[in-house]
Amino acid sequence: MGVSRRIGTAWSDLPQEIVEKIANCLDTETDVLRFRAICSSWRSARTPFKRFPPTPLRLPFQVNPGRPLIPRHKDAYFRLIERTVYRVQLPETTEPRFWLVKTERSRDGKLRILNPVNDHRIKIQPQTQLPKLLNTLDFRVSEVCKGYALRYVNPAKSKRNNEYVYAYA
Amino acid sequence: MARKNRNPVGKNVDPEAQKKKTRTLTLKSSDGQEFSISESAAVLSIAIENMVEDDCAGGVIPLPLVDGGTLARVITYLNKHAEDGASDEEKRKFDEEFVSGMEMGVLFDVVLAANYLDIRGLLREVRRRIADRMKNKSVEWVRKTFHIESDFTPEEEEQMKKEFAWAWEGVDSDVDD
Repeated sequence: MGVSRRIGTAWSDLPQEIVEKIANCLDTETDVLRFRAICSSWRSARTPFKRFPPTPLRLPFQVNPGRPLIPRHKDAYFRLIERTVYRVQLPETTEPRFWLVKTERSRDGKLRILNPVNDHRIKIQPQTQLPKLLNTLDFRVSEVCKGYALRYVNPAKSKRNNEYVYAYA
Repeated sequence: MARKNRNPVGKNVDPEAQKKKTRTLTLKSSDGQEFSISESAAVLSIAIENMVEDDCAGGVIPLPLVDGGTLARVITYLNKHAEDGASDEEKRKFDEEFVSGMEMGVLFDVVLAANYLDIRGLLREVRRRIADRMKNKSVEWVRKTFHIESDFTPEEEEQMKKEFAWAWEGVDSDVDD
């Protein structure tokens, strides 16, 4: 220790217990993902980020019993959904401009883009040139904030029309 | 309550604590530099406290894993945290400034020293600040700054690319949600 560092500090030689504690100071999915991609010993120092439950968290209907804003349907429930706002910038640039991208995950783990202001879904037209995958390693991506919404799900209705965002925090 | 507490705060001095304040220890770094420090500051390091208790100190405590420059920094930290009358706010501010200007190599030495000497507060602070330097930084940048080379196999690299991909909903025709 101490002496070994003179030719470039040997961070990969840092005792594993210290690396683990450092890794635990990271609290966004993006940062944890990147941390685990540095080298194999760092990768094993941190378990993957626990994503918001992929199986929908169903909440009973009486979330807000005093204010029946929504017509009740039999078997209807609320689903808690998580949304993340990212700041996306081109890599290696001094260009200060950036994109704000608001996303939520669909049940199959894919991302849905929302308008950051009014939360409307932004439909990606198949004919556009947007790639099917965006490799976030190619950009500077950071998490700005997270939000949660309650989505009203009425299983009796068709898939497309059963959603109603009830509250947003 | 008040009647029972016959010793006003400040006068109720633990003679042992008082002794620690006046007693001086000498810490010797790996490169032979010697530093004087009050025992009350030194024992904020659990490792030093154990050495003092075991009485294996014999006046000079050798710290063969800490070089002089690093030890000087650590002592500055210990002195501040043992200082009489330093408020928590003051110590917090001190910690903030103490770590913020450190180069990566210094941070590395200090985190190792804090770990070895078992100085919990310092260790926590430095770990947090090391993590802060990685936040929102690209993988390449972190590897470069921390002098780490990727040792992943091509298969692992491929797997990781998937982790980093954002797959858009509605782009494939078979998406159903």
